[in-house]
Amino acid sequence: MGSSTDGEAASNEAAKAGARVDLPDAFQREIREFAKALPSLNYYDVLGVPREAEPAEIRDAFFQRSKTYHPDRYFKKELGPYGELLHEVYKRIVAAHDVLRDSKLRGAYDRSLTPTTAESRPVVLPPPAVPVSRAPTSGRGASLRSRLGLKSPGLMLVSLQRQLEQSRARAAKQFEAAMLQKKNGDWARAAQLVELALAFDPREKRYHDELAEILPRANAERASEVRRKAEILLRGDRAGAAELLEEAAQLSPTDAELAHKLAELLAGLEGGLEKAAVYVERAVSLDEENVRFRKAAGEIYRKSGDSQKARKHLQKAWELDPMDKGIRQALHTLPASDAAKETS
Amino acid sequence: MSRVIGIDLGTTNSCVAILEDGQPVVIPNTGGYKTTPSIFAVTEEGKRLVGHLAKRQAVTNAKNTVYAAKRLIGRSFDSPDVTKFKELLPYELVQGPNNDVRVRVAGRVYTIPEISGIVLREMKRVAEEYLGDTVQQAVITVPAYFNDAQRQTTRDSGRIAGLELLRIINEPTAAALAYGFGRDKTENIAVYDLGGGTFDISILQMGKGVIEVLATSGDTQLGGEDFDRRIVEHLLANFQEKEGVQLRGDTMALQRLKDAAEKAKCDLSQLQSTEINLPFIAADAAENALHMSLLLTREKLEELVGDLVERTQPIVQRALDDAKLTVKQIDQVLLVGGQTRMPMVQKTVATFFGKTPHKGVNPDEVVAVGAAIQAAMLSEEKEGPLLVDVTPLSLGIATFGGHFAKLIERNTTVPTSRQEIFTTTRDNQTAVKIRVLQGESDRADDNDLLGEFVLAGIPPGPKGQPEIEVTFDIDANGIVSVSARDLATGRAQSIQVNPRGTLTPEEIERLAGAYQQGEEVAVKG
Repeated sequence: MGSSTDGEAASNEAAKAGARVDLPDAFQREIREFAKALPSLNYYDVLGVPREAEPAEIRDAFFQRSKTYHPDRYFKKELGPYGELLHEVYKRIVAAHDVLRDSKLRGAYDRSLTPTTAESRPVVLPPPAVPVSRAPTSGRGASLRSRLGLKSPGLMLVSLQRQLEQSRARAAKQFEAAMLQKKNGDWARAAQLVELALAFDPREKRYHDELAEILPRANAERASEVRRKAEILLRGDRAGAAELLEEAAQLSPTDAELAHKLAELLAGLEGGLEKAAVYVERAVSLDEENVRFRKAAGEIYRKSGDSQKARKHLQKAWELDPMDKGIRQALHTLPASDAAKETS
Repeated sequence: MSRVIGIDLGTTNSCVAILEDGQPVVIPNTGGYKTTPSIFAVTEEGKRLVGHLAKRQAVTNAKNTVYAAKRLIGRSFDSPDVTKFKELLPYELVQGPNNDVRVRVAGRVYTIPEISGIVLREMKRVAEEYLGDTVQQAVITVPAYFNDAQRQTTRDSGRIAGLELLRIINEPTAAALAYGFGRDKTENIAVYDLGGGTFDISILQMGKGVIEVLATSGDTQLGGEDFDRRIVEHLLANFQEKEGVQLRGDTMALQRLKDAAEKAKCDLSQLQSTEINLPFIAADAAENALHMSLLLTREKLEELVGDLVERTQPIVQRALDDAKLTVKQIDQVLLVGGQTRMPMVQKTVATFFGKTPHKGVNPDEVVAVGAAIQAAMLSEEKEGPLLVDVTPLSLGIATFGGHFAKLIERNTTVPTSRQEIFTTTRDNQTAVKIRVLQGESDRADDNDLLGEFVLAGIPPGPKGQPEIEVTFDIDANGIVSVSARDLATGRAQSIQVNPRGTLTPEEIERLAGAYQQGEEVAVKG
């Protein structure tokens, strides 16, 4: 029988903050986001079903959620702080299903929900782990209360306050670890830890502010790392390089040169024209007066058969650099029919 | 990576299985049998036997042959169940230092986890021989209604056998896993499990690769062995009436009667009547040999055990109520456990559910197969069926006046957590004792104590004023954490409830060490 104090638990928390985690980054992010959103989610949101969902739909959604979030799925994995987040997330999924699968409980729960949607409601305290409608306001629980001289059911709110404080303490630990990583210059790790802190305590302004500062740097760092890798791949696996560059482009959405480079690369790949157009448009929108970007856009649209857009970009390029014979030539090779359409 | 096996540690027989290339395989023992009797014996020459060999010599060596040890696992010596059971056993029970049950075999006292450990070790050996590799981890099954002490003692048995138990799952749940394996249909199913020693009923829903336990219920003291005992009682009474001789005190005769009863019972699943012949069962006052010869009909058997079968019905109904389903909503009924071979049991189940039970599963092997599937799912990250389980018994704390305040009701899906606020009952009370209990009775003392701790430092004040918040949390592994917090001061105290078996950790380690060192048990077959 081991008995432990909060102090010990807290130091375990700190130890966990630096631990290795065996989950894909994307899934880590997903868990963080889910945990972060929990306070503002109602049971329907938690299961991802509409308010009018049929029982079978609720059951299937629960099965689907279980397959993703049940801790047993990750039995042999090193989860670090994600073990606890997963535990919290899945507990809510279970609580949601417990209530929504029972028509009586569901009815009572529906009545307790305000008719407005989650977005328009102010941020509320997390619904108790005890489903609202199961809270002992009558029946056995109530008699228990009176027998023990217990306070009014309103006290449950106080206990939630405590629960919140526990989460805050956990968040603070993660944040502390994040600041340590920041000092060490590991921006990526620091950003991840601040996001974790936010998952435990989504309302702390300090964390949001810090994240706003760290995230761009973490992303830039990651982007440059990804680009380095992409450069290596460019010599051989061009598709792989494109994938990496896309990740980099997502991390640094304001890098016009990167977007241009990626667009050119994608244009040379099978089935890549559509995406190439997206990125070349991004490059152009970031630097409208850039001849190279305009030329690339013209070329990509010519290849994809959109002569109208190709003409637009090429004409702009020609205006910017009237001496470039290549642009003129390209304009002339565009099908005339489109030009005819344009004038008619 | 070493493989993880699934073991059904049964009251009468045990079975081991593994998932090979995604297919469940029930592993036969050296004798070619897919199940091994859960029997341990020591011969006159001091040779230790387990399995079929132990069973074969049971009649001539009844005093030193231990069977049905599972019925004693995790129980205290002075419990009414053990007292009742003691009279019927040919082997000797002794009281252990922790008020646990032990058995004396050939002059040596064994703990129950040791006996079960010996059987588990045999199952481990069977698997290792088949795989040509050592096995260190297993998933093992227990009756759904096993309490914490019984589960923990089963875990201890594994430890003694050199096995780390990744998970303990309920037998009917394992059966459902085996049934649902590779099946994509969305169905509600009922598993009716009448084994050698226990009766379990589970209601589950499955689909999309997930199996969710909705409710489970049972009776830990109802099983095939009770059927056998009814027959033995009948034979004893009949013999007394005919010959005027009481056989009750004669262990060898009792063992022969037990074997004959079991055999007759099995025969009557096929036949309408069978003859029980036991020559030289006793001698009269004049030293003349007496023989037992008696015709037993299926009708008579059904009369002898009818109430036992009847006893399962309200339990099934309770499980359905807990699952919030009606009989009509059950799509499939699975029969598990050897005793469900009895036509009367099948008929009762079919009548109750209004449908013929599913025929596709082997009641003796299906539980081990389910354990193997769960083992693979946990250890190999297979896309195999995911099990969403429930807590089998209610959890709560003892309150003023000896009441039991349940915080988590039985059949609650895990993981889960619940909170309640409690207060003091005396003026200026500065400490409260939190006693964590498990069970269904409203009286605290009738439930099992899992652990206790004290929250001190409550500021003195009138009774009823302090607010003590108690939180229960159960994770997916079934591990229970309990914390208490004084809301005024924020002082908190918590425990992880480490279930206690009947042995101390030191004893377990010592025994594990001893068996590791090759205190070998003679085996074969």
